Amino acid sequence: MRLLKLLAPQMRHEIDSAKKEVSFRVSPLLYSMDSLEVAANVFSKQAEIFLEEGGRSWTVTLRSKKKEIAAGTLENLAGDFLNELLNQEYRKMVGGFNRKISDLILMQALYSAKSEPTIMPPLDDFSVGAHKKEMDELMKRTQKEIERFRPAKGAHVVK
Amino acid sequence: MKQSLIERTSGRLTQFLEPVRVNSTKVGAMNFRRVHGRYLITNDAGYFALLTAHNFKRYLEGRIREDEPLYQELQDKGFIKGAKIDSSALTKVFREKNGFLWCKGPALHMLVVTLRCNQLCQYCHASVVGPSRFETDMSLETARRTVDFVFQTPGQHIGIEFQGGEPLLNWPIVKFVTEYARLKNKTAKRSLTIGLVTNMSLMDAEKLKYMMDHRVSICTSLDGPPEVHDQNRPFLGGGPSQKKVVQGIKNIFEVCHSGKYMRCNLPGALLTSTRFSFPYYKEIVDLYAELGLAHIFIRPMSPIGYAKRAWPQIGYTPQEFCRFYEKTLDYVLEMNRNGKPLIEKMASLLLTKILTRRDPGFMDMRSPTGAVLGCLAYNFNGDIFTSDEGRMLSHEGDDSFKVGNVYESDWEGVLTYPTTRICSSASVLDSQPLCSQCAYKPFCGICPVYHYETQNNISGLMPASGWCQTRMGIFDVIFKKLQDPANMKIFNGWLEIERRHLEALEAVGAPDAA
Repeated sequence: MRLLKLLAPQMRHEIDSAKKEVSFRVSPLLYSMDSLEVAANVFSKQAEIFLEEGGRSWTVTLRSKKKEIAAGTLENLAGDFLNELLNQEYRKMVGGFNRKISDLILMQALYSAKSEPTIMPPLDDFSVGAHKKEMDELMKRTQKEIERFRPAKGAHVVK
Repeated sequence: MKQSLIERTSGRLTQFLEPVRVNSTKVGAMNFRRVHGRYLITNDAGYFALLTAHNFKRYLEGRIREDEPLYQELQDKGFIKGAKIDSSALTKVFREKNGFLWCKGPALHMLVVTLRCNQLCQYCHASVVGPSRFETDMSLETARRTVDFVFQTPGQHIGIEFQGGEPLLNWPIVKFVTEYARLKNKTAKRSLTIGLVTNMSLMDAEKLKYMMDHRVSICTSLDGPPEVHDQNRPFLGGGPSQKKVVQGIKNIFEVCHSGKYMRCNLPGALLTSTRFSFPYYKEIVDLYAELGLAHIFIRPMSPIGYAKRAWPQIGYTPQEFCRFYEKTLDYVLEMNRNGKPLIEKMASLLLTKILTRRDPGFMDMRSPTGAVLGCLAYNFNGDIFTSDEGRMLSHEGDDSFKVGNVYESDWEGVLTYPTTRICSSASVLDSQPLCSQCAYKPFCGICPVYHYETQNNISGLMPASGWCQTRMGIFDVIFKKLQDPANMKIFNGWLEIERRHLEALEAVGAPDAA
């Protein structure tokens, strides 16, 4: 019951339209500073985010980066921020809960990609190796084709 | 206006309709979802079962008797806890389904050999430039270094794909990369496949012969009948382009059917669905079938790069796309029932995972994402990106997804680049809210670039994500269709064709292929 009460409070907020700001409180009992910082980063394109630490709650102020913004939009901005904050907090919980399996999967993927190829004979250095002649011819031929393919500047016509 | 929570989440959260006392000593690890009147349960091995509401409740309460066939099925699939669970068999299945976790580096290398293009597509992600802007052509030296880099990556399979712009506008470099890669592979002995993505407008007999002789597969863009295609993809300066694409496809078929070349040289086509496509779903499918194309790929468009700006004109909601997807898939299935073979590629890729529990190599649907680990994109100037979507963002001035440059980087540097690690860790579904509890988790994946672009959040906020809504909608359609045995027969036929096609491709890519 207590949790439900905490999770669904009426959001109280203050709007200062002149400053394009909306302020609201969040509880440190529910949200970590890590989640708050990540959510602030996600919102950094839309708003400047300020934090005031009080005793039992934090006051978050969002200052919109839009030139003009209506009061209703500021309220939505605050709602979206809280959604993102909740997402980050939940992500932290899920991440912590499933950390072992997630780390294992990630490690396996990165480790495999780092490994040596199954068949890896030394690649020839084409400037000195067995295919030098073929490589030289290919480079020369391509260079000529590039010159032929590119007409004088401004003369290229595509039908 | 008040909106119901269920509507807001597009019905993606399944709720219990009545209280159930779960027997945790019998119910194995699984996620569930209500689909078309049944309960779908899945587990990490990739097994699934579709249960009636009655059986689902009995399953959760541990009331399915051991002598029932359903019990045996659920036990074999790892849905029931107990001593009889075969962990090593489940591990083997998990490993096959997630084969990409054991892949030794990227298999797909997308080379943007030029940004120049002679078309101005409505949604072009690539933010192309006009045909006279030669400074956006890949140079010979950059091409050489790019191929050298590609062969530095340790994967046994290397797929090189020419993209653009219109790659044929830098024809000498397309030829050079093809020949240099083949020459290099004489020593490297990898399985090498080369493909070209072209709008066909510059394809002539000489170029076509070259492609065939050098085993370069050709894929084009075909958005449907002229009414749709010409609106989506006009030539720069105006003018219809659909006729040229259709003629180009016919020409390739003609050459292939001459008997001189292998069937795997047959052309492919990609459909980009805009809102203009929706009323023409039948005409689009009819055209693909009429041309003899093996696949039609109904893909959702992403609001990334140029398409983001054009989204109000050409875009759609996830729900609109899913309705289009279902109608089109239904029509394709009807066509198959009438004896005309045509495979819907999105369905076949997902069904490969769902029904065969094998990895089809679909970069978008992996956990972690295929970015870097499965594919890399190389820009004309040698810049290396996590994926083609990451490269598209760079044209908007955002290099967040750049992970190196062929002049400066080596494979280890790209793999250990912070962006690579961040993209990988942000896309593991097990640490993702909503995804970790989703019934589609064993088959799904998320795209960091999509979420960065649409939500400024590399991990994504799934309840509001268009990506998630679209993918869940597609999965809903697939699992709905799977409940009809007649569809199941067609789907199994598709998977058999795909298996044979893959074998043929592997033969073409083999180092000693003729």
